[in-house]
Amino acid sequence: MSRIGSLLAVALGTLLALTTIASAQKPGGTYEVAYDLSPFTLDAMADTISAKSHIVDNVQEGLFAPDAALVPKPMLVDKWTVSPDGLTWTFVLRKGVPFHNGEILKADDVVASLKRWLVRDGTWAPHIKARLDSIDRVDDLTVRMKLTKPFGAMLEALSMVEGVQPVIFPKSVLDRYPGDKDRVKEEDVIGTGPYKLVSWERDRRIVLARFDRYAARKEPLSGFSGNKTAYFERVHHNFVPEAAGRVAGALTGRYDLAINLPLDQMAQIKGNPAVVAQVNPYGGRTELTFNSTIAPFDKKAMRQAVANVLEPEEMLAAIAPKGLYTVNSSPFFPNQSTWVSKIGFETYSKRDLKKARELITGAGFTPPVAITVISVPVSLPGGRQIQVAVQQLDESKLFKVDLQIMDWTVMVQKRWEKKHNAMYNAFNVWYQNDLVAPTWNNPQHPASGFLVSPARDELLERRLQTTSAAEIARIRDDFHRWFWDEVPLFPFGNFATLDTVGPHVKGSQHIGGPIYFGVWFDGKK
Amino acid sequence: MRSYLARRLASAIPVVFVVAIVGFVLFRLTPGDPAALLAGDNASREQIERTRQYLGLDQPLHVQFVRYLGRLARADFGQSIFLGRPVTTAILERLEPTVSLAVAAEVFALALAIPLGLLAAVRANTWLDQVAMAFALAGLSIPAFWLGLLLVFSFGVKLGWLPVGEFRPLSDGIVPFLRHMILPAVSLGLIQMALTARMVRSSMLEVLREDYIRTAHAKGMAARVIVLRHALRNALIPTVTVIGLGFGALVSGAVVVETIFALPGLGRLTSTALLNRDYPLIQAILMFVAMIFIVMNLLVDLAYAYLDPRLRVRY
Amino acid sequence: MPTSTPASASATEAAALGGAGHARTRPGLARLWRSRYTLAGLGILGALIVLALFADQIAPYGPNRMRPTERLQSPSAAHPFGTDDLGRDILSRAVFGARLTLTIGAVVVPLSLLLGVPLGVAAGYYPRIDGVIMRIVDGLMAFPAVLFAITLMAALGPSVTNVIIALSLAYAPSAARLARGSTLAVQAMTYVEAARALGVPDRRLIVRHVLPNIFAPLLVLASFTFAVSVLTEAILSFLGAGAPPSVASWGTMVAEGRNFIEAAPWLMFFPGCCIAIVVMGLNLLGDGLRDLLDPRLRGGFVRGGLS
Repeated sequence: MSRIGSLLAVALGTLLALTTIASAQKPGGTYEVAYDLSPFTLDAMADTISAKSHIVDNVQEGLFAPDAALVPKPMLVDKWTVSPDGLTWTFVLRKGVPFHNGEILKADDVVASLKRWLVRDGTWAPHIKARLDSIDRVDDLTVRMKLTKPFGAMLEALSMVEGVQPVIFPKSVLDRYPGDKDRVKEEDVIGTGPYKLVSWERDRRIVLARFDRYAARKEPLSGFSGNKTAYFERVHHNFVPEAAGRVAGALTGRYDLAINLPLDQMAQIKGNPAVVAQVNPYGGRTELTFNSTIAPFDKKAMRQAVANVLEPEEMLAAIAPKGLYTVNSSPFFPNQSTWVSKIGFETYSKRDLKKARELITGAGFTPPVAITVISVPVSLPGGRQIQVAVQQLDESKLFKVDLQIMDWTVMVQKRWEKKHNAMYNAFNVWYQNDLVAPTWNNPQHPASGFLVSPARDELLERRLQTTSAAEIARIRDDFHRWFWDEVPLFPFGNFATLDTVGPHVKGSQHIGGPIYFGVWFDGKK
Repeated sequence: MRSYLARRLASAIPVVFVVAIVGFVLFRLTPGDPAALLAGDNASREQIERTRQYLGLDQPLHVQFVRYLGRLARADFGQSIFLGRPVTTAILERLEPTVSLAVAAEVFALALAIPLGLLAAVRANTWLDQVAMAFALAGLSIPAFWLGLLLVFSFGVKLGWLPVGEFRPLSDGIVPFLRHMILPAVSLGLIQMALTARMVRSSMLEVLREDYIRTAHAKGMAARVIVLRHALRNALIPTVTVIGLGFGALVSGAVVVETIFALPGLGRLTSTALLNRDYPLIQAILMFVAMIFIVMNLLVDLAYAYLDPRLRVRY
Repeated sequence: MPTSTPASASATEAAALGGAGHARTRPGLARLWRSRYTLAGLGILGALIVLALFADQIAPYGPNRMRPTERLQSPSAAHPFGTDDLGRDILSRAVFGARLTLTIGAVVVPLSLLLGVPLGVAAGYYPRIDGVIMRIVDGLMAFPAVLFAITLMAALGPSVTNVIIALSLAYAPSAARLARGSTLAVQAMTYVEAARALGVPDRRLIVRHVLPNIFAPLLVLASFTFAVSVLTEAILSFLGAGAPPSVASWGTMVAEGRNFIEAAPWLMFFPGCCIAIVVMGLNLLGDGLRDLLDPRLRGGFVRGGLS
């Protein structure tokens, strides 16, 4: 950039900064939140439940964090280098970052936390462990990781804000939980984050308090990265599992933030001055996963046949009103510019019963083919709509479906038994940060239908080796071509999730989980 | 009396024991894997297995059972799988909302039912009687969950008069407590109110026909005195039965009402424990409920005997 | 001894009062009113039966016909009760819900009686096994029916059969208690004592004297059991522990309507009304039956304190 250009940029930037300051981020107040599900544990590395991550993301931090475009940015790291051969990663930590318990962040804490994470994580850790030589402290602020093969997704792995999270605990705390099945108790959930955990009243609420000595970064807040200063004194994260209760509380002003409201309330909410709607257009997803270990879906042609019968728009229309769903043929989210693609959209969106019939008879089956579909409980959003897909399959006369809806605990057991033909799942997930991470690309996990494919393995390996954006784009396209050829699962598309905030709440963004930093009250409650 | 009490309590123990065993066996033999749920949706096979070991569920069934009995003998009811804390703590933490709800519902029920039944009996066969009994009939027939939702919608959302979706303990002040408790108490108590009102009415009618009432009337006692001082007391005796009876309905109804109004009580705990297959919690809750019931039944029987001297002879 | 369900409450009510002498003090006009209610109750039951048997003909659409483009429509000519979020016609689902309701009631009532009555009569008749049987029954009754049913359903999984099993087991103890109480009462009558002393065989006594005497209160109990099993099934379905979602059930419909209270209150409103009306009708029937069978009930019981 030319010098004048940069001067102008600085001037503009300052002007912008001044105007944002002028809109007064006032510290103070208690943020009352209506959240739906209770977590089972607040130990960031103990399970993959979102209800836990949503608290952890406000209280603890990792080495990196995703910004609003889901690109990893440094958080606890000041700078990092990779050796030219890609085998040595050196991370230099920021100086003087305090933990909630008064300790200062040091390399020992990072090494201990990452080691613990590597033992417990099932998403990235297996790939890292497969090529990890050592991870040690070089000095008080430097950590070095030595690998045997390059690992291109290091930043993605270290910036996870869902699942088993690589957040940094003080080593002194982790020393008290040496067993690899131990779960950190809530009084030991210590981090470097903008809020600290005060209490967890089971089934009632979690209380967070502002960490006054939080070492905020200087970059502007974007997603989970940048300046995450907390403005509220306290946050009351209340558990209100009944949607009607959250709606009622939001409309009467009892709650400043109410999450996950029924989409069909949109009309009432739009017209109501007491609340402001916050929509994450891609917060929810449903998919039908084929069990590729047994007939008929061990044959690619049969899976393609189903893809030609299903009509995703009708499914989505059954879940959400118009404007609150997105037809999307990619298993990635439409806003994930790095990984989303429209390759395969033709197959996905068009219903071609003739082609489906040819595929079925070509594979040696006679329609209607009898299949068993297992499904999540109907209480989940998108849970009941499987019946629409079943109706589509039955009415095509090409399949005859036996639908089994079951409790979660039974479902998670049955899907490992591999006796079903297809499995329907619906979930609120906004974050699938990379090609390698999602469970639907892990052939050992039921979410992938246990599909074994050397072509996909090759794609994943290519991804792990590279950090080049151009190569990643190529991999992305190759992946989608593979995906719509093999069709391991049929993604129906995305539907929105709806939160509301009070009109006096400023700075709130909907990026999946509720974030409490960078949000403040403007004016009277 | 004492030996009767002792006998009753002694016979309760095997019942509680049987309940515990049934709870143990029933859930472990039926499909449902709490370890997989606890480990999370994205957990790998080994993570789930690790969780199962952590929970002690990888041991053969008889080993688990023996361990369970052993712990029971030491009055150790185990750790809740999903709450990560001792089962007894989990249950005790949630007693306050449920007890508050049950008591509030019962108070509401009685406060409405006794005057209603009384009035209906005293003005038997008039329009007042018909209206009162029609009201009672409606209360008996309206499902508590439907009523709860309707109340949430009308008073909570549309009118915004009353808060919904949380619990305020008594320690927060009597007014907030009441404001948060009214809707759930009404939803839960309406059936109880209906049953009691009907019972009071029938019982009053019966008593009013008794000879001693007629004598009092003949002697010139004021009607109000007769009704309130003599008849009511005797009419309330069978009502005690209904209260004890209704306790069962209250506890069951609590499951639904607590869900709808998001009260962190025992009812909701039960429903979540069952859904999640939280074995130690399920077993403990079953035993707890059984014990409460047995005690409740015993209390009602004793109260009955106490109030009606004619029955005391038996004990 | 107190029992734990509203059905038994009403039946115990009946037992305790020996009829409360409605027949005696009531002028003829009021009696007519009473029977009018009973007729209403019968009418509702009749309507339920008709809807259940002829659901296919009466309902304008199938219960699971989904048309997502027509979702959440308010009541109209095409859909008198509106549509739900999957585009299903609520009226049709309500009609088919009647079928489930009738099925449950029609099986649970006789099954619970079949399980409970023989046990109760045996307990009343043979004091030696009385203790054992009543301890078991007590054990079962140490549980509110709904909790018992939820537990069973959570373990067995959602299906109509399991609901029927759970409810029958839950309500059998009430029948047992009632049968036992009646049996004891009948036994206490002098003529029965005499017959026994004379050596009349037990079976003859039971069939000839006990059963006819318990028929009336059991009929009343049957009516109330039907009512309470409708309510309990609705509660179970509401909690997701009842009929599977593919079966149209009023309780499930209210549960499904829960998230749409504001946007589409008709989802929740109509099925709830159905439940209330049917339960009310059955209660009316039970009341009416109890009054009708008054003379038989009167003098047949000892007040509630039988243990």
